[in-house]
Amino acid sequence: MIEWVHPGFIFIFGALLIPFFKGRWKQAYLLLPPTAAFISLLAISKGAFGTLPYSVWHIPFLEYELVFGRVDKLSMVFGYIFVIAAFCMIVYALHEKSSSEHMSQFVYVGSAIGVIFAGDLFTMYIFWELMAIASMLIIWFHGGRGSEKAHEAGFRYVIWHLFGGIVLLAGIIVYVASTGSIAFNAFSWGSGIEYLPSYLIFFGFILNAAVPPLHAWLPDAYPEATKIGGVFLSAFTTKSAVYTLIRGFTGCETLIYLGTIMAIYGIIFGLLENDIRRSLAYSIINQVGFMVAGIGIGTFLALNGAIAHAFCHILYKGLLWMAMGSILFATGRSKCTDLERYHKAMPWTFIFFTVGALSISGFPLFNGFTSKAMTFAAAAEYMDIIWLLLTLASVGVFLHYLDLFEGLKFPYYTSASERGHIKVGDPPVNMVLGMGLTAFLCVFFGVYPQPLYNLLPYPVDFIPYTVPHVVGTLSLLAFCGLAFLLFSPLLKRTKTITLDTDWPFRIAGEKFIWFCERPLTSFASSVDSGMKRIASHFSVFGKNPVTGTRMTMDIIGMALLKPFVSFFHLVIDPIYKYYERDLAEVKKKPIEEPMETVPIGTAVLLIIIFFLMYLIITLMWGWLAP
Amino acid sequence: MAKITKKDLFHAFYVCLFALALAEVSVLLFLHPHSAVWLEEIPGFNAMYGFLSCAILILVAKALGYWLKKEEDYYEEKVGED
Repeated sequence: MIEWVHPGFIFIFGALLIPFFKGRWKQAYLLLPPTAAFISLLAISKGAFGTLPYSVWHIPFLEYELVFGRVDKLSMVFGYIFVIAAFCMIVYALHEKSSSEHMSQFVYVGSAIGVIFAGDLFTMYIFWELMAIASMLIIWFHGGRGSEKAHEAGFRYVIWHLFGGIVLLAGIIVYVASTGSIAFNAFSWGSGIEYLPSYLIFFGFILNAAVPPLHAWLPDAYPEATKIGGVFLSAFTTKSAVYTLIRGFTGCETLIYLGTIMAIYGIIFGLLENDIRRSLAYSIINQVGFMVAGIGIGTFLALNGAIAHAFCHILYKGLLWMAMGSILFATGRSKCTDLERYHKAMPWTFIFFTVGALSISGFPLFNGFTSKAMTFAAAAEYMDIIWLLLTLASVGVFLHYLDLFEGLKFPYYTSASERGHIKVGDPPVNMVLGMGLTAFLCVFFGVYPQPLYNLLPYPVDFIPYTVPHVVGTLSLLAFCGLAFLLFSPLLKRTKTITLDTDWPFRIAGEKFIWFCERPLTSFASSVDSGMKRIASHFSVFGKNPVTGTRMTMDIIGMALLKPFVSFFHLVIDPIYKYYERDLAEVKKKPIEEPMETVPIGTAVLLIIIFFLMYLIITLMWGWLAP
Repeated sequence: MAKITKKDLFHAFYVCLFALALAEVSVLLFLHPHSAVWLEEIPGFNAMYGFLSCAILILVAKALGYWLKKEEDYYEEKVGED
């Protein structure tokens, strides 16, 4: 058995030490956990692949055994990309001084890695929830003390995720109860009540994968995170959900349709959005759509495509978020309608954004081309219409980024002589380095995809660089560009937000709160005051039955007569008035114990009568009893 | 060195388009690539489909925009109503 250290725990426990370092030391320390995690992955890959699947780190829990480290090719490829991406992102984040923000990022990354290596459902669930909470904290760090908007978005975010988590937990419980096993392997799929645990777990997974209509948390919350937080968030939650879908629901046909819808949905909403970070968030939905469709097709080629795409997507989407983060860093703006021309002032940012955009659009020589193509080839073998729709969405990606370039006012068709007049510059050197590293990897895997193909779980016999494929892709993209030139005036950005599927929740939620605050509360308070009145009445009755009876008679009489007062005015009114007067008179006196004094003889007489009755009853009892 | 103007860039782009369309047709004629989708056997399919899908997406986005785009303070306003 190979000794190894769980890379997720390196991040999670590494986070605890962050506050003890300051300044340069802290920056040096921050790079340590990702490096150590990478070494741990390398070490395990040497020993583990001999006997696949290979498991270590069993921990007894209740009557089950938790498997923290299931190492096989599938978990390793995700493990590698998570650690590599985390390294690039941490370099990008080095200038940040807040220890707590770094800590939440580390815990977030660590728990995502924990999900990847979890070999059973309980372990997976624990890391799943930890990930939701850590990511909520990342959103809350916006603006140091946390701006109001980020705070609200973080709440909405965590409500979605806790809901998904509870459904997932319910599914796990039903699954464990019905099968007696907590192993996290492929779930059975079909129609009927016996598949209930599969449905519930599926729901939990696709919520995290941001499948419409369960996706609204993503464009709502990610853009509210900090410049750095957004970069981290873009990579881990959705991709760990992609991993769990591959584990659990490979070949589930529903996923093909959901994925295709996602891919197109993300593009259309991305085009409508004014805030570029929101637009990038929709682009995540679009990209995950391709992966989800690939998982649904479920052939080796499609799965390889989905995994390679997830791998590359983490890199280029991280890069795009980094570039957008540095624009935000320099200008404090992220809306198309607020941005001006910055390409002169921020050349590095501009170059890296371009690399990210070309990668995501799938241009040859960039990693989108070498990864996404496998999913498309698999879709073409599966069904023509799916291939057509996915290609439409893929063309749309290029359109989307052309449109973002226009939004960013990058000069893709303006003359080089136009000068930027804004005094902004490229961000700190570590941010540029982080972007540079990521951009390098994007180009590296685009030019030389073999190392990536070697990592994939199934043998790859796919050659991306064939003449028909390159020419076909280029002409798809170029003619998309032509259509964009002709139609782009239609896409003019406006100072608006776009409604999405969170609308019913946000509006209904608000109505629900209103209902709670107004009708429900007034009903509750009326019940409350009614009970108090009855209680006080009883206390009057207890203190003084005579007055109490009189009051009760008055109140009942008034209540009975009230409806008739206006009809039979002459007869009823005097009686009603009498009751009213009487009640007022009763209430005038303070209600206390009876104040009428009785002569002492009367009291003695009463006592004698009482004793006499007692005597009689006793005698009668003796006589009656047998 | 002569300045590159916007017009030059556009001309270069149109030349590229033409070259690509030509390349696509000639690839189909001379290399006879095997494709899993019969549509790809149509000459110039990629070019047409690229143009068409871009146009469709823009038009659909535009149409949906009329319905879904709202003022930026849409949700805040709703909260303020009561």
